[in-house]
Amino acid sequence: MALDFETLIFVIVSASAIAGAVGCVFSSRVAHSLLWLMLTFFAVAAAFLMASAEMLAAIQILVYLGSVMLVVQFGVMLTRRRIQDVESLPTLNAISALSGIGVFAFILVLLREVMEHSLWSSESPGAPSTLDFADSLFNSWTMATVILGALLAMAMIGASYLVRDERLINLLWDMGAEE
Amino acid sequence: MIDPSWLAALGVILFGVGLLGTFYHKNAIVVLMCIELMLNAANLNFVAAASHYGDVNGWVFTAIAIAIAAAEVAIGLAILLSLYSTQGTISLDAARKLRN
Repeated sequence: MALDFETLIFVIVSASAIAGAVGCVFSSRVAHSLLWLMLTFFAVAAAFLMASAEMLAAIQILVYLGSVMLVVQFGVMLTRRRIQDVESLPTLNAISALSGIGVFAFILVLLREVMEHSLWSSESPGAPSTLDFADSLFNSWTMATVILGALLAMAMIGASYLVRDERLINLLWDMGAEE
Repeated sequence: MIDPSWLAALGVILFGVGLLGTFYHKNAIVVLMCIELMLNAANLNFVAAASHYGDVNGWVFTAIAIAIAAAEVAIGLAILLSLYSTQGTISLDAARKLRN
C-alpha cells in the first residue's frame, strides 16, 4: 500500500509533536524545554488543521504560541535568572524508573482502547464548518462565553496583584517622591 | 480529512509524556508546562471526536479549555514568581510554605 500524501504529513506532524514533548520533559534548562513545548503546540495546531478545525488551529497559534508561551518565556528569562537553575534535570532513581514503566504501560493500554473503540466505527457525517462554530459559540454558549471573559479578567487582575512589588523605595517612587 | 482515531492516539501519547514529566520534575515551572501539555492532549481528543461526529460542541469546549489554560498559566506563573521572591526557591521538594 502506497503512503498517501495526507498520511505522510500526519506522520511528520505527530513525530514532531512527540519529539517536542519528549524534549520538553528531558531537556536540562527551563528555557529550552519551553522552546520544545512551543514546537509541540505548533504541531498540535497542525493536527487541528488536519481535522479541518481551522479556527481552533488559529486560536492555538495566536493564544498559546503568540501570547501565553511568550509571556512565560519572558517571565522566566528576564526577571529572576536563578529560577532557571533550580534542579531542572529530571530526578532519576528507582521510584521514578518504576513510575516511568507504569506510565508507559498506561500509554500502551490506553492507546489500544482508544484506537479500537467502537466510537470510531460509525459513519462520519463530515466535520462541522467554522460558521457552525461561531453560531454555536455565540448563540448556544453565550453565557459560557460571557463568564469566560469575566474569568479571564479576574485572572489577569489576580496575577498582577500576586506579583506586585511592595518594597518601600518603589512605593515612594510610585507616589512621586524625590530620591 | 485524516482518520480521527489517529488524532486521539496522538493525544494519548502526548498525555502520557506530560504525565511522565509531572512525575519526574522538581522544578515547578516545568511541571506547569507538563500540565499544559496534558491539557492540549485532551483538546486533541475533543477535536477528533467533534470532527468525527460532525458535532460542533467539541470545538466550543476546546476553545473554552484554551482560554482557561491561558488564565491558569498567568496565575500559576504569578504564584511561582511570588513563591520565588518569598522562599528563594521554586523546587517542589524545598518549598514548604505559601506565605511567611
